[in-house]
Amino acid sequence: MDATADAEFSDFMHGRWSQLVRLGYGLTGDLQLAEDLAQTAFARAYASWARVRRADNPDAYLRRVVVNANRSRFRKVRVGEVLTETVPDLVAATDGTDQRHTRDALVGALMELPYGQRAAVVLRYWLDLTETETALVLGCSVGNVKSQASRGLTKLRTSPVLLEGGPA
Amino acid sequence: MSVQDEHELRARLGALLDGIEPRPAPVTRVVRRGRGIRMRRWISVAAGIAVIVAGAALIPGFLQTHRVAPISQLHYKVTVTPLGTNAKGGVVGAGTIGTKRWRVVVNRSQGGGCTSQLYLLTCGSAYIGSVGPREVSLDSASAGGTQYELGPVGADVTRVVIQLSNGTVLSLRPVSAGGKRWVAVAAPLRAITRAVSYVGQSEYQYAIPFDTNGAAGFITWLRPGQAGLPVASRSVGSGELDGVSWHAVVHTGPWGYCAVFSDGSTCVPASSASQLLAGRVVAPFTCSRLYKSSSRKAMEASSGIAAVAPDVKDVVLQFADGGRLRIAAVSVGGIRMLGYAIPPRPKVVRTLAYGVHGQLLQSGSAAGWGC
Repeated sequence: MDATADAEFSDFMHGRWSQLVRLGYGLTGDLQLAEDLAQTAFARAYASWARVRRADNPDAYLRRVVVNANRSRFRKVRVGEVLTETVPDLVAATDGTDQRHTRDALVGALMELPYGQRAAVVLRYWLDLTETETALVLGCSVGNVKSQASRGLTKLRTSPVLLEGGPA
Repeated sequence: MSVQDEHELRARLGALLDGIEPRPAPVTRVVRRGRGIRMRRWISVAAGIAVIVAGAALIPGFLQTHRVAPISQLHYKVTVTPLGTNAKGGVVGAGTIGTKRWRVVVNRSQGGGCTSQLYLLTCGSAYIGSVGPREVSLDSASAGGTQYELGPVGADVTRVVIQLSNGTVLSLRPVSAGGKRWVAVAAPLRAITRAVSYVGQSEYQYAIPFDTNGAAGFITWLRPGQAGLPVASRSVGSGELDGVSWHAVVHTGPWGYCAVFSDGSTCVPASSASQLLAGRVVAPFTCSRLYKSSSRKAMEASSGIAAVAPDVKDVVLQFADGGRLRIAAVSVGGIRMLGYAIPPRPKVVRTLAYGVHGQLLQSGSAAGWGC
């Protein structure tokens, strides 16, 4: 790529980096992993920059890479991964203890959701994507998005982690 | 606490995720990874095509119409066909290798990818970015026993001359397609030895390629009379990790710096090498996954190369479990580098750089190690 395209890519990445890391965090509960996933997505975007920059919705491309890269990571490390009970620290954890517990409980509850439900919940209820946009990112039907998001919400309502993990 | 409705969930997710403050965007590192991905795609395309050709060799019926004639080291004949200034049907390069006709086609609908059949390479007009008015950017691909060079040239470039190992000189006139001016050529593997670009009637730049599995990789373009780096190869690291052997060799020459890994390679133009450190003491600049040679199954482990400051003797990587890995730096083509291989876990948490007298020069972050 020439210098102009590199500069263009740099602007593109700076503008979306934080949001993509936050999406990764919502999917993994791990800030370092989230940053790795975001880097993977941007590296792939760079490798296909000529196409990505002309795409109608480059954000959907990035989100899809993050969602799929994390899914692939699950496949690769399924045998060796040990799930810990301790939720990773948040970088911006400058708030009070009660609020911190509330956050940790929500992360824990999200991590207990099956991956498809978790992705649907984060995309629909945090990013406020429409069902159609969510389906595009997840690579599934709108009906599937509806059912995944609905099941995810139902599980969160009754999640013992949320009920016990913080102050009422 | 519990989540009762969608509105409440949105508010809680917003409070959770909007409160995350990531580190600054690591643009340089991402760009390095992106370039690595792009190079591996080329290699994959070439390898895939080689498999198809090898498979075809087992089917006599297929071979009756598509036989690939073996071409000896110097006894081959390559020609290029003049095409005019505007591509017809997207054809930006055509000619013969022996009795076979080859073509290179630029197709806007192909986007940023390339496909290949025997003696035909088709690439999207977006595959290679734009170049400066006097620049040439050639990318290579190989299929069976044939290599292709394709790339855009700037508005001032009048022709590109390709020299072959048997003394043949091919003159390529730029052909317009998909909004760019292109040159393209095909030749037997390892046959291309030099490219020269012309602005007006004068030689403007020349390039000596680095051999990437038989295909010529043009990385550094030099002005006439400019010698470039002397040819040398040096191992910057080797070993075994989880039963998998790895090695990293840096080849310097007029092409620049080319790092060859157990599985892949990355090249850096000579003009960019001084920017690798960008003021840092230690700078990992390229990385690839380590592969098990028997199954080709990707391991999570990484193998890579880092550039270090001139006064760094060795670097110690400190892992999350307290383990340490000391890696010696070596001088290659005027800069110091080291090769490494690390497992996915435990993570590297700190980088310690030591000088020639064993003094600690820097205790830095773990950023950039592994991929």
